[in-house]
Amino acid sequence: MLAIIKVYFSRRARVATFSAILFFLSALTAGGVIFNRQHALENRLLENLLWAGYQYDREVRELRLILLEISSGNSSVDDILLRYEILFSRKTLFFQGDIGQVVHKLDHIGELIRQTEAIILEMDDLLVPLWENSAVLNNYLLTTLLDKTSLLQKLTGTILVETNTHVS
Amino acid sequence: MRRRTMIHRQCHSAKVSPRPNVHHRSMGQKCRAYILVALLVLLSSHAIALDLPEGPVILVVSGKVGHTNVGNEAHFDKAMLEALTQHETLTHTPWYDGEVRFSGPLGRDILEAVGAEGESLRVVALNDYASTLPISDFENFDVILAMQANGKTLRVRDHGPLFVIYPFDQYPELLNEEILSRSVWQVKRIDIN
Repeated sequence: MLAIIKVYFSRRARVATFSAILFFLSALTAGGVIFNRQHALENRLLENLLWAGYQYDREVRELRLILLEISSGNSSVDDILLRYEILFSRKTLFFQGDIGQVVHKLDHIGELIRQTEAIILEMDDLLVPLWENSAVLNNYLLTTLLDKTSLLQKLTGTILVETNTHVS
Repeated sequence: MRRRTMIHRQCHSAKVSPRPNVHHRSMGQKCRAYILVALLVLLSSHAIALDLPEGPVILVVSGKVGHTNVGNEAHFDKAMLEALTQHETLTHTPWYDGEVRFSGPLGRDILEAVGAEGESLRVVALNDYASTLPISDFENFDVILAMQANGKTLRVRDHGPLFVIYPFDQYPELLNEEILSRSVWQVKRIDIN
């Protein structure tokens, strides 16, 4: 076989063919490595998104608990404001940095997050007077805030399920 | 002040004492010793005293600290942290878009201010998330407790008031899961062990 190749193909042709095969295999290997790294990076980002979703859902629950406890005197307006601020910071993560880039690519999850943002901003307007005067917190405001966190909890729960489904 | 007056009086009385010269010199030496001790006490008390916070406390440092201001802890308000040398770190992070200019006191300056003597730090966030950092991180890298990002004060909603920021761009090897988990935001307490 080798003898036949030697007869029909010149040394130059053989070297060129061998080089081409070598180049092709190198390109294939490099491509595979890049693909694997990209895949690992995407998986890590999705895991980060899942973790952020879990923390988001947890913070909504914490705020809801604080709101429920205030009527029994176990929490204060300062606690509500602190929990709300922490929740706001959790929301921000979905719109910037690495997690923001992942969310940007996932339309369905992105839409759910935008809905939660709208509710959080509505709550922001409701909470503004409390920074100046804690006595502003009355039963009506408390009920409104509880309703909003209830709706928010449903959405964050859905975000968690959807992200989980996407990751798995 | 009262102590100083007393020493001064003692020195004065020593000068006018009718006692023999030998005793005279020993009294003079005693006075110098008193003055030296008083100065040392004054200097050391100045070194271990931390000002009391006047505004809301944003950072509590506890554990193996030598300089305290409330019980066994060192409490800092915003002004006290701003009084420390402010360091700027220009870096990319996974939590922000693009390059951000963070500024705040260096971690090692805070440790120095409280006279920290330990090997590791337990950094606790407002939501009780906690991460353990080796003190060597603060010694080997310019880790700051950022109070500002791009010139704006970090509020709780912006992951403030204090955010542990490593110089990721300067040392790209820091950009790994372990260090990222140490980059605690909304820091409220540091326990030195």
